Amino acid sequence: MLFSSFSFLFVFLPLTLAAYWLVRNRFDSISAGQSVILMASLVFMAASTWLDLALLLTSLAVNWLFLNGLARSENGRRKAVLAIAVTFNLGFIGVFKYADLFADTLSNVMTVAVPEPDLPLPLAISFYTFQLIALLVENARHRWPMPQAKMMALFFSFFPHLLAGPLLWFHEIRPQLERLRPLATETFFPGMMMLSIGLFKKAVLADSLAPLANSYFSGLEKGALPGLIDAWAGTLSYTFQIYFDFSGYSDMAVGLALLFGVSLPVNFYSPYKAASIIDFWRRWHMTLSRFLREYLYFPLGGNRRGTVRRWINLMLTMTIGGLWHGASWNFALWGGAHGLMLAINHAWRGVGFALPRPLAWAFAFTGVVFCWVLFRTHTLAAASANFAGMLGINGIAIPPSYAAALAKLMTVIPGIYVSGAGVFRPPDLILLAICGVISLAMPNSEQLVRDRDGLLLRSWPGPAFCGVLATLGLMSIFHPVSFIYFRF
Amino acid sequence: MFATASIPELTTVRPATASRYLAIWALTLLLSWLVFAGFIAVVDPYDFLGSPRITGFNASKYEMSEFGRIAKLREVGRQKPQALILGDSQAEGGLRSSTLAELTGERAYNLGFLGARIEETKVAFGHALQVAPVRTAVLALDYVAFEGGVDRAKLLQARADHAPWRELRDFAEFTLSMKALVAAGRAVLFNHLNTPPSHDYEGDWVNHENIPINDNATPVENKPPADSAYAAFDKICALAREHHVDLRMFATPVHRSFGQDMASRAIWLRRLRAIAAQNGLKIADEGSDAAFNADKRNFFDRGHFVATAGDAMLKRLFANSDRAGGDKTR
Repeated sequence: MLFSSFSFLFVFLPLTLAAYWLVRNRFDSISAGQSVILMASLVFMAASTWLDLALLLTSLAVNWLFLNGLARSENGRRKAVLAIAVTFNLGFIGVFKYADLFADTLSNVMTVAVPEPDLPLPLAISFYTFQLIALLVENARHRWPMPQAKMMALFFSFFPHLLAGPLLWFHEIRPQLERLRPLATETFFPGMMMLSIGLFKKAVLADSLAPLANSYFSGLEKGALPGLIDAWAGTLSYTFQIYFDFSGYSDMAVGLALLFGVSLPVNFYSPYKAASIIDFWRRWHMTLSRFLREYLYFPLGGNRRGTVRRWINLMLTMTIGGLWHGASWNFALWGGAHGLMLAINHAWRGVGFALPRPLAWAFAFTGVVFCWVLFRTHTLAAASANFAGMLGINGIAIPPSYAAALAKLMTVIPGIYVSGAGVFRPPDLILLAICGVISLAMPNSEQLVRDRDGLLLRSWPGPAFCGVLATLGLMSIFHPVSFIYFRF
Repeated sequence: MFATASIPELTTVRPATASRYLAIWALTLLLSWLVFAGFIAVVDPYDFLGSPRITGFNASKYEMSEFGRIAKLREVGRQKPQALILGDSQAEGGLRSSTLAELTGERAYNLGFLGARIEETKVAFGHALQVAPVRTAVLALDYVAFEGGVDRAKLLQARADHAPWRELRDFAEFTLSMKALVAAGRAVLFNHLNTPPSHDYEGDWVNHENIPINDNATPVENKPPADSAYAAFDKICALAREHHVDLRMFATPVHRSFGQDMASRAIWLRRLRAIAAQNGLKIADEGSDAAFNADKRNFFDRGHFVATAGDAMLKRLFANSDRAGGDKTR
């Protein structure tokens, strides 16, 4: 079930809120409130497929047993239990998510046909498995008391963050879930504002960019050689699509949780305003970044073992982080490219010469945009064609309707040619410009709603503005497009 | 080096302020939706509501190519043509209803629409037979229209049958959606600029872009024809026979850069001809002339022939039949 769908917004959410209000506000029962949210979350998961729900519950049940084992074990044995538990989780995700990739890679390397299991990718498996591993590791480290089964199920299935995060630690949300608040206007109001902004970003902006990006990259995979304008417009379409799609989802998740009085962490903070790659990763998918830091970068040694080792650690962390996104080598390449840029960024900092901020921003943004090509394309040939287009090697294609108007220009500038296939039109470019202004020059959702004295909470134009955003969002959900991160 | 995503405090708003602002939010949501819906209803960009047409404001409709499946079903009931052009965008853009009217002496309407599968054409034809006194039909047979379109046909059938849920959804989508709002804005702007609409009153796709043909373009994927498509074609022939409609058919050409698999096409055409013969009908082949298919002047893009070529095809189709100059008022 998509957040940006009629069934969710007009059936599931109102029914869940009504049931929660009844038991939590009218009958003042925290336990019943928890049960309502738990049941609603299981229904939410089952609305995808029963298999997804069954896998989630199986994973939770097995990990609950591991947690029991950890709680009862002493030091040496605890490490062994933890190792088995982590191996189980990696195996679980490995079978369902990476088996095809391994089989395919083996086939290519060994030139022997290795059969691919071709299992369906369970919804949210990357998210809940990552969080389960974190719970196991933290419990082993800190010897926290064994969580109640109900609280554990509630945390992992909590529908606002179930499918695509934010990635959470059990212990940071547990206090809020244990003392679930009644519905109250002071949390309901900012929740609705956040939900409105998220819906607008997802349904209006990201879903408008989706056909442009899909059509462009599908042409690329079929062998098209894009011109300069198309290559940049196509890549920027995806750059803004994935940002508005994922940050829109995160805003909606944060907003939905706030409706029930639960505060989730910030996940995006204007990442495209970043003036360095280091800064970018402090602003993009922030909850993933902290997990990568805690469970990959630090265990690998972080920056404690010299400069070269730090660079290697960065590359490794980001490459594995890339693979976490999807079972395909292009994601590893994307992660590796970011790791390399991070290493270069650190090396540059070591030189001690700071670029002027606009120039630093231009470098960082261009690097991020180029990397999205690796993320979105499935073959090196398509990625190369796109890079060639972005560098102007394929010339500049213009739509046939502009041929007459630009005839003189075509005689002056070599490489301009008329093409009818996959050429971006002025309205598409206007849409891209609007998305650029919103992501680069406007305050972000956190600043608007959740920062102290948030801009939209100060006076009546704020909520009125959000009302219009909500209207535009609701007008755009007739053909909802799935969230990009649902595939991860 | 990596971020620390912290959890902000739950709220900074006082309850009384929150209640007031929540009311403002809800009221704005409702009012803005009413304003947008009102604007869409007045402009009526899809001609869905039949709102008055005002020159320079909303007289021309620009969403026919996307909305054709609904608008044309309604329009064929309004215009009640006696001659029909059926098929996909090749028929819509390459065959002119005025030429068909000349050849048959009947009121003609172009019921072809973008990306139509033959199953959809069957539904459209069946609907037209119920709402208009159809006597003649020309069916342009495009190989790619036989890829299979059972689900699309079901949707079209629900619209033709005015299924209540479908009507409600269409009403919402074409009067309350963002797509309709953008379409309404476009309609007002284009009417103001006096931009010619994509389709004429008789349903012909007239203002299409001429896309230069690249001989080295990647060939399209040739999907094999579906069984449901052959069944739908059989049904079209049967409908024509049952309703005594003079159905004339031809297989369409594409430019050679389209990369059509001619061997598969020949098998497809043979099978269609066998089905047609069972219904006492014939199919002309306009698509196997290599010289014609190689000449870029015959196509406005590599998948669509130009209207002058279409005129010649229609004339050949009606050659040896004395149909012109009939009673146009029937």
